[in-house]
Amino acid sequence: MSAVRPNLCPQLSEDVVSKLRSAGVKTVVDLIKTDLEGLALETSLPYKDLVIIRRLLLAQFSTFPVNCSDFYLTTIASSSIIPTPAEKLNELLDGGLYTSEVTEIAGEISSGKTQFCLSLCVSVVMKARQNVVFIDTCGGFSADRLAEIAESLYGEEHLEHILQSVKVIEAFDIFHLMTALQTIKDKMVKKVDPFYDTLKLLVVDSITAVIYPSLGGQQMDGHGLMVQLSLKLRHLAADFSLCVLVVNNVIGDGKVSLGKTWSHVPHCRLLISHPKDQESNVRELVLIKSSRLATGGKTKIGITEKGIEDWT
Amino acid sequence: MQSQRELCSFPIAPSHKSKLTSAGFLITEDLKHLKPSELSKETGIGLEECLEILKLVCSESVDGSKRNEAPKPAVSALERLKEEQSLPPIITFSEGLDNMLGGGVPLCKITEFCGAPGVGKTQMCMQIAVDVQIPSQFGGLQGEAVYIDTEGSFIVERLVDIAKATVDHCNEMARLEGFKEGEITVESVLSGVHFYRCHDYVELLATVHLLPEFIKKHPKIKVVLVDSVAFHFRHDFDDLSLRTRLLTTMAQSFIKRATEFKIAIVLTNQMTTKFSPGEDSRLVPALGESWGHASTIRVILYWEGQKRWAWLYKSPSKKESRVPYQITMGGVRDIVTSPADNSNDQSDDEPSSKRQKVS
Repeated sequence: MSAVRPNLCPQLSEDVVSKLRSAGVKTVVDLIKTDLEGLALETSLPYKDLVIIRRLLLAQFSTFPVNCSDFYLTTIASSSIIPTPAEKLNELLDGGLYTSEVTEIAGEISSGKTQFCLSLCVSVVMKARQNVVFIDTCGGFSADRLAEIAESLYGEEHLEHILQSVKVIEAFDIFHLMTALQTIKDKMVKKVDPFYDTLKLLVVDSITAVIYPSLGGQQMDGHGLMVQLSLKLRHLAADFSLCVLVVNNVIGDGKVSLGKTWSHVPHCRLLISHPKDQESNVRELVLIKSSRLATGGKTKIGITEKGIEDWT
Repeated sequence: MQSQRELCSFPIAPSHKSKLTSAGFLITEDLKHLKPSELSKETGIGLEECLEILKLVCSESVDGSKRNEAPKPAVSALERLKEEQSLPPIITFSEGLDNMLGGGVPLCKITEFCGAPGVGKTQMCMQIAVDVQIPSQFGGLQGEAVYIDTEGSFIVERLVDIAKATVDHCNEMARLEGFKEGEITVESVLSGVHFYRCHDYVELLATVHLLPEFIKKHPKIKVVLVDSVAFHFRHDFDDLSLRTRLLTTMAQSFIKRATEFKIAIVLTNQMTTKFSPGEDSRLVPALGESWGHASTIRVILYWEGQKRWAWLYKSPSKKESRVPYQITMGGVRDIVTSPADNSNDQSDDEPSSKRQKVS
């Protein structure tokens, strides 16, 4: 929704806009709600013009229903599945990470969340032949480690290609993150940068680092900003068929951070942990939320110099 | 097209945001054609604030990099790799520790040393404050250090001991390799450490807030040490959610400065006891789990028998490992492997003041 401003449609000149504002019609919603006859009398604008303006604005700002079978066909054509490097994990996830979805990986300190993301970056570039944008909010991105994974899996000849297909954005507070997401959206819409035409994976590591400082206390904004952020991420995933991977923390006794509001945001949630009495590089992944699959499935992975792989 | 961004996603004060919304301005496109005076009249916000808001919202689309606090543009991982490789880490004089950390304490990252009292956290900080000043001909950074002391455990005489040992080592290397001696002296080392003493958490937060100005005036600064970050946050804090907010804000501020000025941030943390039902109680780093996610690299220092060990618990690029180390007159050093050599030069003789600490 937006304010009524000049040139939204041909009949809306500066003069008309200022008359409408003085009559209390400030946003498009106000214009659609008010009784046009009364408004015509108050502002002494011709009634016919007001009807035309309303019709044009409705056409511009409404959404239109889509037939489900058309929607299904479009989804089939535009979606894809991104396989992870671990086969058993792919079975658990019914193929891998899906595009047009927000997937969340949550874990305690040093449980392997960033390693999972880096491994997936290499996987997307080499297996799906697409690009990745990695948004780093906590300084945990290590290009050295990404190069190590890439080189051990695919050798030195592909190293440069892999590294050039991953772009890194640093955003250390929530407003920078929103700006970064907006920039990505604009670049995808304008289609001037070929990198963004083949963008398939967007990683945000980690989302808690930027949301924590705004939550709680006397701040009125915090919750709202968190929800705004979640909307932006979901829109990016849905509108551009991206796979959005978000990293979250686990605190206390296996509780995922950011509370109930955030728990509704991801379509799919994985919990990664280091099971006791296992070797130091073994991790266990549990699917705790999915909009498509049965939850509760577990699998074990190992973290090596090749990134993550199945643990046998 | 770039204009369809909601105004509430900008860093505008909440009271202004509500005034903008009630006046009907919801997205950036709505504000594009307005002058500050018009905006002020419509919303009732003061003229100067309107100017600020318009600058914030509209200059975004022009050239984000002109603004002070604008986020950096995206760089490819290849460029990041070249950047990382061009920034040498700070060596700690303990080869085991340096190898464990991947060369030393890295720049542009937050490294946290956690440990029980007496294990050597302050010694580690002082060692790093001296090591950052090693001249570049010896592979050092030739930088300066900011030392923020919250506990009062900083003793200048100890820093002098460590500095002397480092200076002697450098002069020895200079003699062997034919360089000029005297590039680094105890006086130059002491003058290269900028010392702050913070008495409560407000002073600490204020110091951190003013760091950017200070670093801009002293561009040689390459490391900021805080010993310890836990001290003031563990006492007199009834409101735990406030503590989490302050700590996470401080952590984000640190990582911003680390990447902006290409410096290393070293923090020390204390240990606390965790009780779990059905399990033995154990020592874990203090300040809670939400703080644990804040540091990029976490090293836990602990005792095992008579030896001190460093355990790399969290790292983005190195795997978990443990190395033993010792604290000598000259600072942090490796443990000499053969026990027979122990009596000779690398004497395990700690200064008596340290030995009295309760562990």
